[in-house]
Amino acid sequence: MKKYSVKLFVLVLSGSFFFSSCIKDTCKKTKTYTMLSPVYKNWDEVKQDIKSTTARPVVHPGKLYLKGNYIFLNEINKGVHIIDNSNPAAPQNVAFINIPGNVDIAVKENVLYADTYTRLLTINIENPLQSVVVKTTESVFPYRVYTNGFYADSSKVIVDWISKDTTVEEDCANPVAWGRGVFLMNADATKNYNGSAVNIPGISGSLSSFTVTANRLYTVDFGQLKVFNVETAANPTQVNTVYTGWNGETIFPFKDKLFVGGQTGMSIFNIGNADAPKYEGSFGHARVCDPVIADDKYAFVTLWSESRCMGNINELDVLDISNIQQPTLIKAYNLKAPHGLSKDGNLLFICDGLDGVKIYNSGDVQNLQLIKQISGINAFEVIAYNNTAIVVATDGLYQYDYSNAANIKLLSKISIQK
Amino acid sequence: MKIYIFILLFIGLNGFAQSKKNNIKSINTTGLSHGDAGNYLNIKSVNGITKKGWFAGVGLGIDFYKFNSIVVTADCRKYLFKNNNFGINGAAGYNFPFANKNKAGIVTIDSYYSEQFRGGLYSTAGLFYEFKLFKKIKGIINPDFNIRRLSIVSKDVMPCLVAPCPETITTYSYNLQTFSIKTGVIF
Repeated sequence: MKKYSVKLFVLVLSGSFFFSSCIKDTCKKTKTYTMLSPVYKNWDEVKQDIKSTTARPVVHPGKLYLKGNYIFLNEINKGVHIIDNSNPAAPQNVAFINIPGNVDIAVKENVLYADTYTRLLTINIENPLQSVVVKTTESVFPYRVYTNGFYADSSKVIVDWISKDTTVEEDCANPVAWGRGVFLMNADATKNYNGSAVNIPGISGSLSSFTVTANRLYTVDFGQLKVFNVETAANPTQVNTVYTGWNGETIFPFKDKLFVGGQTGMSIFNIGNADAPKYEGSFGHARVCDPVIADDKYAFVTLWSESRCMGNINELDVLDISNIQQPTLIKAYNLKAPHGLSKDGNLLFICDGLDGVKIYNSGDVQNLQLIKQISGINAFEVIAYNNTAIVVATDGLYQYDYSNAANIKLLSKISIQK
Repeated sequence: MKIYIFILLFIGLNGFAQSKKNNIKSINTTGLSHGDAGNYLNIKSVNGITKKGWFAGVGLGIDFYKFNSIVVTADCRKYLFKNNNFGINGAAGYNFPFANKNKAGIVTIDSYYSEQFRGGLYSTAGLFYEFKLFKKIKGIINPDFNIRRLSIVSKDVMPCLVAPCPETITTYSYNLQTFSIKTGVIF
């Protein structure tokens, strides 16, 4: 019986070897992506539609600007929400200015500056519910890319996208995941605004590429720093263009300096002569996104590596800028996905993606002390001013009272419409 | 490392505990899995009960073929002859991928990319031959055919400055087939 067993086993084993060459691994790839078709309109039609409407829900919040009692919140590629923040515990979304292609904003007096693809709009917002375009400056942002290779057109603009989720199945044989998030297809409270009502200056978020300081509007786009004289707020006049290097994309003013964050470094410009920013120094780093803020002694740069910024660094770099010509790294702090940041006194607020907002005592930059972490939100932009931190997260606009740093409290939330 | 220690403990403790009871068996094997992707090691420990020419037990192992997985199975064996040395075996269960970072080899046009492995069904069918090795320890040769399913869900994010950015979700569903020869000891 035993011999029979062995023979049978060897026979079957041999057969198994023979058939083993027939076995194959298989792999099926299922890809779900959003297919977008642009909806075009002539510029003249679009211009007519750029006006105030009643408040609408926040859906895709973008950049943030604080001025007077108002919060200006960009709705990515759609326009600007105007939020009356007289009472941070109960902010009122009072109006929406429809501006297709808008991603950045700044405010001076009663005038809102907003990009609309390649153009710069000057909008009178004395009455937020009856805003009026007072000036259109052409070709300010010539390199503004719609997305995936669609560029701005002089006569038409893309006012919307028709999106459709599509799922396709294919073999895994082609290992290159060229598909990106979007595939494209061709297809044809009436209340007067008073920016000076309270003593809150115009403050832009650290992700902003617009800023107003010293009667000048500075914009940075694809490494071009443009200077507009806005002494007459309603009539911005371009006076200069300076090349920033590093593919500059964020801008932060501090006293007579402009800090320009780029994908591979941070540059510092002296604006003692406001019309002619003068390069003073820079700090290079690996390819990542790097919003920057600064004070008299230090610059705080968050490096994050998601999205187009590439790289694989997620950290806060603290730079010594006492020698402005030669900023030096003091210390790097590892973070999860640091985005926007803001500073009020020694309190340093950092939006750290899914880790929420981290608030540090920056009194000793060699040893930042985490005071509080606001978890449970995916935060990407913050402005901290006058004991109120305004935080933009993927699910809403939050406001926190930090008058007592040991007991930071949520004041309000404007939820995002899903 | 914790996983390896856990499996070694699983093998050792069961072997020790069960060696004293002749109807309880601990089958501990290592083998080579052969498939399209090449040859990879596998380790498995099955512990169970024999009764009337049948064996039923629970298996725990590691399969390194193409991707690393911990395998948990319900095992069944049928001895075909009275001398209980030759038979057929089958197992079904689940595999849990682990420590597979960067093993998928999926190439993207930039570095903002994340991938998550998900487990799937695991099944085995084969033959075995047991032979006496020492007084209370038997040896085993166990050729079998394995099917292991797992998937990788990758997320690729569209460039944008302000989050959230649009995403493409790609699911790679693998059906891995291997022929394996295992050898080992039975306590």
